[in-house]
Amino acid sequence: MDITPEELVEEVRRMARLAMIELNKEETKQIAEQFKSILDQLQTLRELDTSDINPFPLEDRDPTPWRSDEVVLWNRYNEVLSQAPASEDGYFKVPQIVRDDRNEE
Amino acid sequence: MKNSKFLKFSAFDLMSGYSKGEFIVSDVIETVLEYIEINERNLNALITPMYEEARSRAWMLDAALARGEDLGPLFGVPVVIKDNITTDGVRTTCGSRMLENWIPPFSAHVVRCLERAGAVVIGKANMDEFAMGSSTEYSAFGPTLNPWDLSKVPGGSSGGSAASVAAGYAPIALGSDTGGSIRQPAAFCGVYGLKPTYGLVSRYGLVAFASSLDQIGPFARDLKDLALVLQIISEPDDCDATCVIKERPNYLEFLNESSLEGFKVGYLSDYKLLEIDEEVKKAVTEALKICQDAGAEIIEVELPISARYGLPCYYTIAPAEASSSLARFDGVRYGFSVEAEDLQELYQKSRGGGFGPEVKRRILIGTFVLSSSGYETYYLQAQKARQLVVKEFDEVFLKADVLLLPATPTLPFKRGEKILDPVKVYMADLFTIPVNLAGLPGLSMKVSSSSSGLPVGIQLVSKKFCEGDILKTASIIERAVGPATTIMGGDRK
Repeated sequence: MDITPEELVEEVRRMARLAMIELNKEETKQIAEQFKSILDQLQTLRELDTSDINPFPLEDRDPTPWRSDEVVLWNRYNEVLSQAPASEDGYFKVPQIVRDDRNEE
Repeated sequence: MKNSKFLKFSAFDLMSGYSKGEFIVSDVIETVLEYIEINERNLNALITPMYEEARSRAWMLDAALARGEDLGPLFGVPVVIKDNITTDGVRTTCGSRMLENWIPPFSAHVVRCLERAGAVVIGKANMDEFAMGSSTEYSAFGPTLNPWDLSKVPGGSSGGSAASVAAGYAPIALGSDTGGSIRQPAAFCGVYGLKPTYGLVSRYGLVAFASSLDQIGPFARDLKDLALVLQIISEPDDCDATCVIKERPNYLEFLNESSLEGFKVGYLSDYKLLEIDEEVKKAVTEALKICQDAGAEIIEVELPISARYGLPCYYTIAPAEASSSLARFDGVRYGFSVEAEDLQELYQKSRGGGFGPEVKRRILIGTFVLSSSGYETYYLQAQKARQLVVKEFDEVFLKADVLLLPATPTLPFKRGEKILDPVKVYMADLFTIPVNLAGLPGLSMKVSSSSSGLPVGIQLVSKKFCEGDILKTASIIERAVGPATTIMGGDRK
């Protein structure tokens, strides 16, 4: 793979943004160094002639079976909510997403 | 130690003792827990030993025993569960800081099956974080050591399960295998480890790593125990749509055969450029000789595509699936969470702080191969290569009934030796990974000991849903080499 070390670091930063993972400088540098040797190894797959191969044959061959549509009672919601860092009125609580701009005039 | 004989008993030995009234469940569980408490200081095979839960369950079972109730097929048998398999009310960490304090509100299907059969869960086993690793050194809870030699790794990712069974914590453990995570540690710890056919065992309650590859399977020191556990956990389940609804054979029956007449055992005649330890090659030759003496026809096979392209194929597909599976850890509903001003920052900081280095590395590789710049070149090409691996095995199984292969290319390696070079550590799964790619069953078992006293294992692979053929072959080999043994604190060199 023809890619400069600076481009690799930039690529790792881009992936970290896509994957929503905060990396510090040291981690970014370390992963960028390993990225190249890992991707070089993965590149050996290019030697294979795969022109006539269906990559996803299972989709046609084995359709997913359905289970019967039955109601199952389960009432341990409080236990589930208690695992969350924040909850309110039976809901998970997250930082505010939508702001009301009218009050900021 | 009083009653230390219990630590060497198989599940069948224990059940026979209970039914004859020779001892009760609490005797066994107390012995086991005392032993664990002493040995955990060295071994670190368990993330969460379940002292209180195991004691109260033992009392409950003893009360049932006293009332003369019907005993389940695993009545009073201690079992260890890998910590990526959920246990209702007992924390399930996946070896990660991300889930350090997560207490699941449900048990996995396999855990329910074992408990219905009367088993006593005594602890949650250490593992590489989210099952990504081959040495159990990537656990956020410290590494597990190999009970045969504390300077060596136990293998991974189910290293805690394998070490528990080898050390005598329990005759049975469960693990999960995505690229060799049951078979490689079983070989390194000198016990049996089976990865069943993809679709045989429900994964409901297994925290997903790579869903087209993951399977749950048993560890044991005795082949009969292994077959029994397979029978119990392979009960069909609606909650996993990939779990095949069809009748399972009686696996124990396959262990009674004394001959391999008319049976064809395939082996790799030429390892080409692969670097294989001489003692591993010797163990394969020895096991082939046993099969031949039992009447099997030994035939040469070749797996050139699996050997050269299995690793890169796996290390494309598994991280791609992991990047998707692990997207659920967002710091909102459960798991590690960092306070933040906005939602994006909450996700990024929680995931950045909760995941360890190997998990981050694989998620980022997976994100890359699925991104617009990597999808065609890497991901799609790997999916196609996977079909070539499947086809290669299909053709080999037209000629052979089972394959007898190395389980791992090397003997257990030193702790800290490979942790800095991910590509090197990936080589440990060279012979196990293609089996996952093709969805086949594979068993590893100890055949001999190395000159340095370490276990040396081999692997048996068969067609899909033909676990019986593997068990039949393994039982012939077991009769010649003896069952796996425990290595107890005092027995160690």
